[in-house]
Order: sequence, then C-alpha cells, then structure tokens
Amino acid sequence: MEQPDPVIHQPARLKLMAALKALPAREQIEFMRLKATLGMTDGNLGAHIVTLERAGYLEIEKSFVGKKPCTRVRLTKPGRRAFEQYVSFLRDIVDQE
Amino acid sequence: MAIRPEEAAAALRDIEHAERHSAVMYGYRRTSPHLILWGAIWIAGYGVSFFRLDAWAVWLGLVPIGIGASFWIDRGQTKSSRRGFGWQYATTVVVIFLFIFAVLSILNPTSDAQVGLLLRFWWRSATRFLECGAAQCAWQFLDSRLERLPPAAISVCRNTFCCGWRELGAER
Repeated sequence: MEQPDPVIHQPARLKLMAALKALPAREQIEFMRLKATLGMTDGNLGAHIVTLERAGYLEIEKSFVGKKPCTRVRLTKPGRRAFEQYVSFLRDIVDQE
Repeated sequence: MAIRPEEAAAALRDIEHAERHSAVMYGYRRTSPHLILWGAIWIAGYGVSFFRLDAWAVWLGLVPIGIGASFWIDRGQTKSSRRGFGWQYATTVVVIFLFIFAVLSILNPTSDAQVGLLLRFWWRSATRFLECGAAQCAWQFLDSRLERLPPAAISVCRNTFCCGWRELGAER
C-alpha cells in the first residue's frame, strides 16, 4: 500500500474501526455501547459511521426494541481487510525508521 | 499524504488501546450476566447447605437451572447479534461437565466436605481465570479461529490451577 486509506486515516474513524475489529467476526454492537466505548458524541459518531458505511466498511442495521429505535453496527469483511492493511502500512513506516 | 514514523507509532498505540478497551467491554458485557447468575446460584446452594449439611442434593436442582438460564441468557445475547447460537457456550458446558465427571470419578470424594472443597476449588479457579482476563483471551482465541493467545494468559492459567491443587492437597 503506497498511500494510507483516506477513509480510515482520520483518527476518530481509526479508533472506531479498531474498536469494531476487536469484536468477534459478525458481531454487532449497539450505537450507544459504541458511543460509551469510544467516548464520542452522538453526532460525531453518527457522521463517522455513515462515512465508513458509504465506503462499504461497516453495515448498519436499524430496528426497534419495543418502541425504542436501536441502531447496530458491524464491521464488514472489506472493512476488516482495509483496517488490517492500514495497520500493516503503519507498521511498515515504524519499521523503516 | 506522508506519515512520519512518530505519527505512525502513536496511531498504532491508539489502535492497540482502542482494541483492548473494546475487547474488555465486550468481555464484561458477555460474561457479567453469567457471573451474576452463577453467583446467585452459589449463594442459594451454599445458603441451604449452611443450614442443612446433608442438603447436597439441592445442587442437583440448582445446576440444571443454572445451565438452562445460562443458555437463555446466551440466546438473548446472540439474538441481538448476527452470530449463530452460542456453540462456544455449549462446548464449554460439555467440557466442564466432562472435566467434573472425570475428576469426581478419579478422586471419588466420600463426604460432603470433600465435594464442597472441590466445588470451592473450581469456583476459585474460574474466578481467578476471569479476573486475569484469560477467559476473555480464550473467548477471542476461539472466535478469531485460533488467531492469538498471549503466552502470559497460558502461564497465569497454569499457575492458578497449580496453586488450587496445592491448596486442596494441603487442606485435605
């Protein structure tokens, strides 16, 4: 990889991807739990999730639990692969030092 | 878009921190309902045994209830995700039962006190295992298809079990 993935490169999105990567494959996490884990605001997290979803790195599922809306997010396979490539790109830079 | 090595190192640290924090939170979320459930069962079982020493049979009722309730909890957790129903949980229960059966067959305890000692030893081993985060590592280990298990976790498990057996031997 010559250039870093511009979608993942943003620090907040990088943390978001890392948090999702730590979950088992196919595991979803609720928006509110993700927000608590990352310490981000609703708007900020929502915007980053939409950006990552447009890139095909995340899948969003919206449903209702009773009358309350519930948004769940999960890392897709391309997202996992892109994140791993980005991490190896960073490791290469550190190793070249 | 050039990245300096210091920036790359800082980003890797952030990634590691975020991954660890997320994995810990996930571990708490998955295991805490089970720990609360089995804590309540433990209190009930030993509460009854405290008043009636010959009440070991209460465990015959409590343990199946606990396993059923654990399945129910696990099912609720997997329903909210897109993962399949907890084959890891079912495998764990089977392995634990086989282990208990094998130990009881070999050691053949003859009194309630001995059985109690064994149960206490298992409980302490399990709680130490969870406290040190090794269970979480094991969980990830299974989920990521044998991707990684820190050598430290293996060492902690070995020490925990060895200490438990030594204590058991000393008390007997």
